[in-house]
Amino acid sequence: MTHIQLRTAIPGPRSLALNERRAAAVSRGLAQASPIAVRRARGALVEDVDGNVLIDLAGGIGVLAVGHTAPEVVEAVRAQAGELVHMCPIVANYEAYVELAEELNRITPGAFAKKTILASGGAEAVENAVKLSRAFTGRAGIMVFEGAYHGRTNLTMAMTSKYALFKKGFGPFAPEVYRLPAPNPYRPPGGLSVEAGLAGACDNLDHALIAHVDGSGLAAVVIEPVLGEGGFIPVPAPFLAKIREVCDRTGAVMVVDEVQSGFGRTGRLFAIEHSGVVPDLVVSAKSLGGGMPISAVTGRAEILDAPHVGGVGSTYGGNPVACRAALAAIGLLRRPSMLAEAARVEAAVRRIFDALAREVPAIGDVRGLGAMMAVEFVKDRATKEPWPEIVLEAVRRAAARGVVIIRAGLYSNCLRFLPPLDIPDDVLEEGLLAVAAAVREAARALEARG
Amino acid sequence: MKGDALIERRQAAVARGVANAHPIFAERAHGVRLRDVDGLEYLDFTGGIGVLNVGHLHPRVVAAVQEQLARFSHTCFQVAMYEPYVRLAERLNALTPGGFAKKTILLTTGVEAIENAVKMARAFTGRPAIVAFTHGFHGRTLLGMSLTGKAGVYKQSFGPFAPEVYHAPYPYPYRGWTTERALEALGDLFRTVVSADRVAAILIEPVLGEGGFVAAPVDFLRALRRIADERGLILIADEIQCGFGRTGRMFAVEHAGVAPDLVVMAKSLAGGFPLSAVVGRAEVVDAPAAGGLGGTYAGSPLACAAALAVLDVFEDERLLDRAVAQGGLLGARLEELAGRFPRIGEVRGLGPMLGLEIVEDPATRVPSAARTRRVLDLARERGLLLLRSGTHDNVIRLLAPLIATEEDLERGAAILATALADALGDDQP
Repeated sequence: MTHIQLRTAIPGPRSLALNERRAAAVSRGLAQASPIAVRRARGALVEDVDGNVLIDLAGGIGVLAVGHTAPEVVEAVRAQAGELVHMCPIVANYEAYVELAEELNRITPGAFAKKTILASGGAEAVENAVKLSRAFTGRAGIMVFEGAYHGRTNLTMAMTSKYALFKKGFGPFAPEVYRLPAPNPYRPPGGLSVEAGLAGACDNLDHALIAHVDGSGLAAVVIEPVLGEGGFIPVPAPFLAKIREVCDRTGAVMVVDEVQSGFGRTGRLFAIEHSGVVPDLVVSAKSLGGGMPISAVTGRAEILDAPHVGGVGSTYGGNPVACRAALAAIGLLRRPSMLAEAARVEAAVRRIFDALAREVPAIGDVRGLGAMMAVEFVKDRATKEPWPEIVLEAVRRAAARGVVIIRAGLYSNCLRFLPPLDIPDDVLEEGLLAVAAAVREAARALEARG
Repeated sequence: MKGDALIERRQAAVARGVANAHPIFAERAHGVRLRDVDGLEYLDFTGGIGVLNVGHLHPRVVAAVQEQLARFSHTCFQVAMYEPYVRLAERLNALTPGGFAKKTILLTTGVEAIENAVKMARAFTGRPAIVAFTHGFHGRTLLGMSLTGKAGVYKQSFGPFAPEVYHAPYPYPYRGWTTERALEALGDLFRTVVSADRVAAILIEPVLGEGGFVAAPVDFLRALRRIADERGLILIADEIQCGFGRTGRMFAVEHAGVAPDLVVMAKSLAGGFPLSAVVGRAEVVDAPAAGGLGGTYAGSPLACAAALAVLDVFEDERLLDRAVAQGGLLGARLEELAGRFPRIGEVRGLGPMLGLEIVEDPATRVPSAARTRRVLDLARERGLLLLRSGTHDNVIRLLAPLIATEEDLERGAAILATALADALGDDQP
């Protein structure tokens, strides 16, 4: 049985009609990865307003590790929506906020005393991590990395490294942000070996403490353990350990941005666990809420407690309904069987796209961890010149074949897969094969065009 | 007491920097009423900081959310769109002031909407600077803090702040800033600090929220509109706290007959669900390149469904009329109280967005944060939840749901009167 059911061309007439209304009413500044309008969704399947059923390998940009409308999450939301929908934790308390904080304090890495602050969006949580670090250290400098994505607010744009898409026209940006290259095993600088590239990146960190900012000015080092928008590049464990060492040496706060890589995505609850490195602060969002808007900063109690009373917090942060959704999602993700599912996704992506790479020379790299996998496309395997056009074409053709998928990468030249962890084998296989077919088609079409 | 045990758990698990106006634990709430985990009942005149103009758990909002929940709760609009987002955008375009073509972007929080309005203004004008006002509150991200005009609570230890942000005095007649003086100061700012042709936008709350419920005079807002037109800059109204009927009109700026280029909204937009929006001139909202704006959670389907229900409630339950009536009733009660207690320095606001500025001495106007805090504590003990605001934390603000009955309002006013009597009445100045 196939799961994709197409009743019209994609987009169908009703999706097209909504697209017209969208063009008239909504800012054109928003991207549009797929042209469909959604009517309902369950697990890894999405039905559009024309009655087409598609496989969703994007998960609303990695928000749905537990899948669309997981019954446990829906029930938690339904129940809380009958009791208390909004209170604002600054005005009065509610148990769901405290319960979620306790749970996050328990499940994040590190045996020390921990505390949590909840917010609404990933960028808002990153902003809070910076506030905590600055208040704790009394220093200003924030070190980040090339390829990083931390959000779209002014400060998090400053911390984000992709200019044309995320930053152009929106500056000037926040001061005291320092950016270094991150090791990229697929693209070591200057033709170095992977090992030499990594060693160079580690040396560069020490060098930066003289060249850019020293320990007296460094408040935090912020890194995604697996670069997200940067193209699903797992940061090598020795580099993460080097950051830990630099932070220990300087007293700066080590912050890991697990917004995309956290909550089971890589087969561990947090991606940093693969390295054994224990950060001071963990920033989480996306799959934390099972589809509801919530984010968190969790970490060392003394850092969380550094700001004065009233210095942090927000009107919506830690909405009661979103807290209950998060507790339900965490309940699902903490099942050992659930985390083990991620390896299955990795194996399937590698099997199908490693095979495809023998046929399609544009596939430069197949990489990732668990259910956070990407395929990078190049015009030439030797020069590794990025080929973003083939990715756009493949995304479009995948949609036409009934799969929702999105791009990634500093050069916008990667396809990324973010399915629910427990996506059934046959759905995963069908979706990946459709994407593979779309890639094959896109390669042929672009080569024909020259 | 269950509440006490929970307070201990909060202290152990949650960052201490999150303030807590009332040390109670809410269990359930409906309309104007809230019950805590120990079974105590309160009248809620906070609305979770102005989020609940339709009251807690409005049945139509809850029903709309439950229905949406059964279909889907998240796709990310940029990945795969959904009709409720577009329908809400269409309705907001029609609802905001101004006869020109409008467009919308939906986001999650108020400050995120402010950040987006700044991005649009910069992209549209190609200019860097933003002029905001003293006492203004625009959020707690780095840029939001930079734009905010209250340093003590919101900004200390979190800088350095975003560049190219300038502040002019907000017209606050009780503290000496008349419209005339404030406009002179704005002119000086343009002459001495930042040239108007480098300014992308002027950002103002038509009624100060966290700054103490001071309404900008009509003449001031009209002057800003004129300056924006003459200098080719964008006028942004931050209606996060004063919008959605809070002042008796859908948007506070309507009282001045001014159409801003961009209106920023959040809070009561979605009846308790996290949602915000920037609505305004199509060419400004469209200025950023495709992909330049966005947010994973932005315009959550559940929150869109809630907001559509809120707009229906405004129409079907005539909430704007009720807001005007609430303003009349509470305004009269507050004036009576001001007559009794000289330490009420000023009663002010717009419609039912009413505040009482509390001072030690009406002659010197020295602010009294301590007495204000005492009023809030006494009112809570007697069953009424209130909030304060103001740069000196000495303004009692009323944010009663607009669905509150006359009886609710009279009861709230009576509790407030006894709290004021005990906190301000002794040792009359």
